[in-house]
Amino acid sequence: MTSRTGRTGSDEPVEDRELVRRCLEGDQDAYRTLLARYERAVFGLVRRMIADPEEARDLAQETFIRTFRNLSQFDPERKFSSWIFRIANNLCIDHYRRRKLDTVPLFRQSEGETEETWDLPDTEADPAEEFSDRELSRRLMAAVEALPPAYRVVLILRHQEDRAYEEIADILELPLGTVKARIHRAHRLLKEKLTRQGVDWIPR
Amino acid sequence: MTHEHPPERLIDRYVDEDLDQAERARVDTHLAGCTACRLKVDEYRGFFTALKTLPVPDLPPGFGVRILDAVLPARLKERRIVRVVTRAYAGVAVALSAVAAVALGMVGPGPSTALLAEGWSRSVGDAMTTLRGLITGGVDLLLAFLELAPLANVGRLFIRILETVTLALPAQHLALVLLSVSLAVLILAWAMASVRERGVPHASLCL
Repeated sequence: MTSRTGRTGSDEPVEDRELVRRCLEGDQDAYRTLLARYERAVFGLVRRMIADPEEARDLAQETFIRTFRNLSQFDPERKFSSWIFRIANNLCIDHYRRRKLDTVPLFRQSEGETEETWDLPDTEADPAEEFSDRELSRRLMAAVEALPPAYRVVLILRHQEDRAYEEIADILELPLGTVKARIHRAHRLLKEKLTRQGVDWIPR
Repeated sequence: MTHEHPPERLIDRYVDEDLDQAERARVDTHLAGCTACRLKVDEYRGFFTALKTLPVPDLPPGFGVRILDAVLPARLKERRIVRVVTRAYAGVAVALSAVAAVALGMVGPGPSTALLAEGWSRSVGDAMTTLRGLITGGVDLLLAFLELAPLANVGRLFIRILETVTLALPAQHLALVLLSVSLAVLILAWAMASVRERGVPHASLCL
């Protein structure tokens, strides 16, 4: 007996590939379980990548619709999570291309510009100010959302979704070294920017 | 490495657990004797904790409804029914509006409209029996298609009430009633679509 959360009678979670197999056999509960398992993560990723909440919702829903309609193409040797995140990321990239959106007003990379020329502009920094957890969270989120999409996506996958470097490389179809370089570069930029604003990272 | 401070990038990878065993051991050895680098490690730990605990966006209400509608075979059938019913509502509203327009035209001044009204009344009597049969049959068929056959008697009762009202009211009053019903039907269709969009389960069945 499998519950809606995809657990068996022995309380072991059903593996994604098993759920995919059941979906392909027409088990509607398997679809619901996969949806419940990934809806927050996929929406969370897309919402961080797309500024407009309604467009983000539509793209996240489209991610699931495409994924479910193409389940027969899923390779069971690979991770389902990588596959669905890849579809979500590709839809976001298509969205940027289609709309030619400038979603990075504070921090952008133009043609020919290298990573080394990037910087995050300081806002109203007051080094003497002590930040509450909430304020720190707000500033950090704003800084993350000001990153170029290519950097934002790796940070979200790494820290919010807790994905391994190898899986991120698989999701984004990038060399492992490129993924690591982007993550560490984004870390340095964010940390330095907020440190300049007076953030103390060591909990008191 | 023990005496030279490891570069910031290495500290980052150390805290992010991206070093192999040998690299990690070398950094550990350095950290054991370097307060400044231990402070940096603590800073990176705090930074990563802040990143990992950023609030996750809330799911919009009814997020899964559109997805399941689009992929589950049972939901696809349900959606098809909703589409048919919505079109039927729209069709009824348009038909009622058209009849209302004719009724309003009949009450206009002048002999030509009066003659038209007289001729129309005569032909209505003859056509009514046929029309009634057609409408009743059509409603029965629609209800059977929607697997709501038990409601057939309700449908017939509704038609009988409509007939009675049609014959009892003067044309201008009839027109107003028809326009009101037409408007109510459109509002109902819009409200049900709106409820369904918000993700209330099985809202379509309320139709």
